[in-house]
Order: sequence, then C-alpha cells, then structure tokens
Amino acid sequence: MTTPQSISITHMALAALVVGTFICVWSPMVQAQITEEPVAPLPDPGKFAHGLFVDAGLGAFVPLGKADSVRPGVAFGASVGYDLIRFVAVQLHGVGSTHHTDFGPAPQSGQLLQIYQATAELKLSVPIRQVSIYAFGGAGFAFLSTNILGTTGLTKPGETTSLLFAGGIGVDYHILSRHFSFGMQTAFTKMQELKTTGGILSSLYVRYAF
Amino acid sequence: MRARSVLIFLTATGACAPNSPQYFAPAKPLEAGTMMAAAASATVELPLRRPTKQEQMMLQEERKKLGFEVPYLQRKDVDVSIQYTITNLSDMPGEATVAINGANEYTSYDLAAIQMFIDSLVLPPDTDAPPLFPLLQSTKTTIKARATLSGNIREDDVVEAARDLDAIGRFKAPYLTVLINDSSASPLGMEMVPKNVQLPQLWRFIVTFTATVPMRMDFLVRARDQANVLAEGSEPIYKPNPKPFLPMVAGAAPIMP
Repeated sequence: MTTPQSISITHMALAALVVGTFICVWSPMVQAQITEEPVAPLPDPGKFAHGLFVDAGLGAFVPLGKADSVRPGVAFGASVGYDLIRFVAVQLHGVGSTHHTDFGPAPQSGQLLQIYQATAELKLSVPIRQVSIYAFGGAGFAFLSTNILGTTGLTKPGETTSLLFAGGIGVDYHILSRHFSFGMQTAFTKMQELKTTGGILSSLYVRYAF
Repeated sequence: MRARSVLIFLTATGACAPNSPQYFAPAKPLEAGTMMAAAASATVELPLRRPTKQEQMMLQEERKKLGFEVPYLQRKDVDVSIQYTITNLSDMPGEATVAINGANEYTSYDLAAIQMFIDSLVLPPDTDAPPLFPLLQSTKTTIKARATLSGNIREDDVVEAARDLDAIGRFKAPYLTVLINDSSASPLGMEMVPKNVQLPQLWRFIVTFTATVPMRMDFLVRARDQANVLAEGSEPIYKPNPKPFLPMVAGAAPIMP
C-alpha cells in the first residue's frame, strides 16, 4: 500500500540521482602530471646556524723528523668556538693522541706515549654555499703523558710540557640541516721543547652549531 | 649539561695519568766484559716527594695500631719494572748477567758493601765466607757477536725483591733462605713477617751488569706512580736513610786495626 511518506522518499532519491548525474557529466575534466624533477632548493648559508659551535673528530697524528721514533697514532679531537662574523671564528681546540715508541734496540722502544695538545686558534673561512674552505692557526700547550722522550734527548730530561704552535687548513661541508656539518682538516704542529721538525695532525670531524 | 660533558671529558683524560709511567735512566750506559772490568754497576733512585704533615700523622696512627713500622713508600704506591737492552760489542759470542740490588726505607742491600764487610772479618778456621746472592738475578744469557738482546725485570720480580729485602731487613729472616726461595711459591724463611705487613717498595736500584766479552747495557727504571708519591719538577725530595744489611757470620770477628 502506497503512503504519502513512501512517495516523498522515492521522489527525493530520484532527485539526488539526477543531480549526481548532472554533476558528473558537466564537471570540467581535471588532469595533473609531473613532467620534470622538482628543483632542489638552493641552500642559503644565511640560514645555517652560526655563533657558538662544537666539533669532535677522529684522525691521526704523525710526528716528523727525529721524533719519528714516536710512531703515528690515533688522535681524538674536540673544539669549542664562536663565529664572530661569517668569515671569522675563534676556537679552543684540544687533541689527544696515543703512540707507540720505536727507538730501535733501546730500552725506550715498545712503550706507550700519549700527547695532549690544547690551542687557542683563529679561524678564517670562505663559505661557498654548503662548502666552506678555511685556514686556522694558534698557539697553546702540549703535554706528554710520560718523560720517556727526556731519556732519549728529544726533550730536556723530565720535560713533559711544551709551548705549541699549530696551523692548518680544512674543508667543511654543511648538510641541509641547520646545525650539522662535516669536514676534514690537516694541521702542522710544532712543540717548542721537542727537538724535532714537528708533526702532522689530520682528522675528520662532525660540527654542530647552536 | 654542557658543563657536565666537559667534566666527563676532563675526567676521562685525567684518568690516564696514574698509570702513566715515569722513566729514570742512569747517567751513562754500563760497559762490562772489558780488560778493565768484568762487571759494572749503576744506581738509580726514585725521586720521592716529602710526605705532608697529614700523611705523617696517618702513618703514625697506623704504626700505633699495627705495632710495627709503616713505610711511607709502600709497594702498592709505585709499580716498578726495569727495561734493558744488552749489545755485544765484540766479534765473539759472550755471556751476560743482570743483577738487581737496592734499598727500601729501612734497609740497603748493596752486594759490594756486604762483600767489603765480610772482607773486614776474621773468619774462624775451616770456615768459608758466606755466599752472597743479589735480590734479583737474570739467568745467564749467551749473546751472539754484534747482536742485541732486550729484556725486562718485571713488576712482580721487583715485588719479590721488595718482599725479600723487608723480611731480611726489618724482620731478621735468614737471608740465604729468603733469597733462594720464591716467596710466592714457598714462604720458607718468612715466618717472622706479620701477615698484615705494609710492604715497603724499593726506591734505590743498583743494577749490576756482568759480561764475559765487551758488551754495553742500556736500561731504564720504569715507575707507575699510583699514589702520587714521586716528586715532580722542583718539588722537595725525601731521601730515606736506610741501614746497610750486614750478614751475621758465626764466629767471625772484625779485623782489629
């Protein structure tokens, strides 16, 4: 039996069908297609964090000249510094390296020696987008863990500290993170009390700018 | 947080220091086996810093508690070993021996001084002079012509020498029995030594090198200062004044002048 309520529902369903069909038929066709790689955003060095920074690195220290009896050793380093302006920074740099001695047929051979170097440095950088080439130099102190070099004549007897001069170059690559960069650096260091040419310190590091 | 990280780094760096050895070399290498001398000796002394008043008081208190002397330089304070190399300077093979004597705070054991003392005695008829042994002696080694040999008197060897010297010095143990026996294997002769003794470490080392052909010996005394008792730089030095060990020779009398 048909009631006025069921007639009303039927009319409403019919009307909805007609409107839906109308929309589908008369809607304009939409087409989207990626035709080329999206352009990588250019890094803006101005957006990289600068100011206070720290870095930590791992490398090797190779004594040169007469001190080559102190064999090359693994070096761990860390710095804390401050970017004064975009091109100039000051930093405190500490490096510890561990070495094995080889003085030929002498009782000083086969001993372990650690060298700790601490310097205050000025760093000049040339930033080119994400890459920064820099040079640094400074002075500080070196500490020897034992007096073994004093028994060989390489230092004065009992001497375990020395004035230290250091200078070097490096390259820093800033990833697209605001804070992190990676780099490598090589430095020449000269301990005043060590009667030898000096040493080469090379390391890879990660840097974080706050 | 940053300050804490710096503190951890500094602590880790400084933690290496107590185990960092200090090396003490003689004024010149020893040369033996020549026409002039079959043996040569050199003395190396560890530079001890003076004990503080607080340390002196602590030692006195411990002395009262134990009832016998407590040394300032104890065995546990410094680990000592001796590294050496011997070079045969001749064109013939030869034999070499290394002997170690020395002194702790209480007793000095110097074979040359002991021999002089025995020589100053009139021994009873039919009595031989007592045999003398060093605190430590390496086995006799043959070294080829122009060859070099490296060796090491280990830290535990020096401990044995320190134990023997303390026993024969402070506790009047029979010296030949003590020196012949390895006290870690056999406590023979150590009966008089208290179990809770604080063992004094040797601070003077007399290294004697004997060779049958011309040879040179270079050596280093290596000391790991565990208690910060070695003097650094111009720190005032404490130099103990030990009594010389002189063996009892039954029936012997000194030569009257």
